[in-house]
Amino acid sequence: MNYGFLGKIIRINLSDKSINIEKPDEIFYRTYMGGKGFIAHYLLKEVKANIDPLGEENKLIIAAGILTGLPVAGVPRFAVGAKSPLTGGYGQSEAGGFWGPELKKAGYDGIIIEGKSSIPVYIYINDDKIEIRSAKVIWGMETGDSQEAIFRELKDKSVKVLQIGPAGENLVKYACILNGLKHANGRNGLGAVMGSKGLRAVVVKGTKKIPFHDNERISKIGKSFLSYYMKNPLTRGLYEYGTVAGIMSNNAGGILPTRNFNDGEFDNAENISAEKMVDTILKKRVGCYACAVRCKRKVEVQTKDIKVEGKYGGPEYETVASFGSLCGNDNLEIIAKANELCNRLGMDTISAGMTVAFAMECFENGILNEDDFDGTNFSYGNQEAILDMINRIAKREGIGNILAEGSEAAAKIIGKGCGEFVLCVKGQELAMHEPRGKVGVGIGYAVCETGADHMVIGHDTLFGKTGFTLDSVKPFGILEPVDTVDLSWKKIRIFVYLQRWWSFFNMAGICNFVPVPRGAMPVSDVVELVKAATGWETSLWELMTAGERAINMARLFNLREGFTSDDDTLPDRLFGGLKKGRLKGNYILREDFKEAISTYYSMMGWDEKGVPTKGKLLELNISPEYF
Amino acid sequence: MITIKFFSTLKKYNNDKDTLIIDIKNAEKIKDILELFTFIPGELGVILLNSELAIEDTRLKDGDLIELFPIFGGG
Ligand code: SF4
Repeated sequence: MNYGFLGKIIRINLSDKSINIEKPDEIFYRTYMGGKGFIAHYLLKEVKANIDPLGEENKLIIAAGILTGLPVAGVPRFAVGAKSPLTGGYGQSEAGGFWGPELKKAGYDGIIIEGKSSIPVYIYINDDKIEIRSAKVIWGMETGDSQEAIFRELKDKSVKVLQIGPAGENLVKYACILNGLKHANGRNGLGAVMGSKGLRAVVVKGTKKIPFHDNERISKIGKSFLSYYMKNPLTRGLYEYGTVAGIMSNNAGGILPTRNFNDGEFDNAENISAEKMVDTILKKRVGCYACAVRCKRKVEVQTKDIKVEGKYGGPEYETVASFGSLCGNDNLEIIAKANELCNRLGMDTISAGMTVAFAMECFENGILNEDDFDGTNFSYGNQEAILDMINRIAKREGIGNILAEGSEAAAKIIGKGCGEFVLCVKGQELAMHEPRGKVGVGIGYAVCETGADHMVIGHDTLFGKTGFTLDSVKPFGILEPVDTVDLSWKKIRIFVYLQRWWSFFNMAGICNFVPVPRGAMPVSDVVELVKAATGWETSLWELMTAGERAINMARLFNLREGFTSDDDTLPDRLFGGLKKGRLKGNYILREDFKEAISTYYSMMGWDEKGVPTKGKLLELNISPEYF
Repeated sequence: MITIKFFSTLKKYNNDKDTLIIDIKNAEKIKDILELFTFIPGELGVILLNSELAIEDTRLKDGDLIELFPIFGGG
């Protein structure tokens, strides 16, 4: 009897329409666990080097985690992976919502999607019945319309729809995949991979019970979380104000990305603050499967000029910053509309906002002019132009066709020295966190296998001083605070420990807002949950090692694709001073950063070029067939 | 007189209101003011004094404005 996992993975080939069920053994599950572990395993093992990410040979891996679907807060997540068309490397993105638990209720831990369909299709999984169906009717529709059409066709409104939008169909390099119209596997352009396969949606209905080993113990841990999460300032804040609370805190600290990372402070930040959202457009606090934290927002706008529908959710911190301060826009209703448009069309709000901000800086510097924007003034703060450009990118119209390639590729097409306005690592745009005030986030951007990503570890502010967040990581041996701008080995040590913890979250399907240090569930309860779910007599050591294994396997994938230590760096702008805000003048010293990366490699057991040593790989039980 | 502004979750320490003006005689440093409240250790993130970054040991004078922001850990 399996507990926690179902022991079944679906393999679908869209070229020959074959559908098979694979049944890996328990050792496979205990080694790779799910999410990133599965993705790294299948990509390394089955995808040849140097293939076209949008070609038939790429594979799309959808992977729930070992805990996904557990009836406690914070375990709704699943990951999607493939070779990324945005970075050309290891591609992966996670999402919450309700789709992952539904897949497990249908009896599966993951899906491997191969080949390419000659006509648009969608996959329908209804417990044991799996079909490839025509998507001719929904191809071209916005996500809301296509979800309705699927409900009608299947005569069932309770099915869970994971889908791309027109941006994915048009192979926008940062197209996302959405479930429930608002929960996004946002990053790395995996929506374009789905689009390239002619696959519009994966629809799931699951009616079975996911087997867990000790339901009583699980319910006890779940209840104890409920008894204290509102007392923890971080989880309570997530409920009351959502992630958007970060706008005012970051602005005060001089680290709110503003005007394409030129500045760290935005003059009108209060207009896009969480307080403003609560007082104006917030309709409801919502969340994911079984999660009491409810950090997500439902917003509505009904004015003469702007209408935003609540079914598309509401902007989170990343989106408020990327279409707000980053683009010099202080209108929250426009941000809400930009978020809705991205969800209707299926685009990552971070990369989309970053690419718009890049184009604005090009305009401000005369590299692009009004002729490039059909007569529009595209300077910072032009609110209408932001909304218009989102549509153009998704539909690849005019200059939108160039910007749809991502800002790094677009800069190469545009030329004229605009490369200095690109804020990417490995081709992926930075998230809304400023390394010049949180240097550990910069290490994360630089070394993350998916390019600039802010979800690699807990941010520096959590360990910058004594208090409850530092106390929460003492079980890792992190005992003393390290300043937010300290780049010494002390920071790197925290980084390598917590990167493993975060990597394990991904493999388990855990949302990082629930366990410590970003959330409230203690380390010991997380370990207990794995024991109770699976029946394994496991330990923190085994879970952290699993996390480290997946990091190393993803690294191997990127090395095989030709990435080198030169790619583990930051955009030039961050080695220069912030132009505005309370950290004005702050910069990262290039030499210090190089030294920090080198320290990171050695702590990871990698050589000076960032290549994992044979001993490290074998110690992690990564067998020679992978390298 | 010292004006204190509370942001987001910290408002609960001020009856859910933004601003508190207090007349306090013996407050030499910001920490003397913070001690009036029952903040959880580590709950405070950025502290501003008259719009400049400050720490608990920063000295106070009459008429100062303290702004308190909760810790934010990314996401
Ligand atoms: S904390 Fe928020 S994002 Fe995480 S599972 Fe709960 S509702 Fe979803």
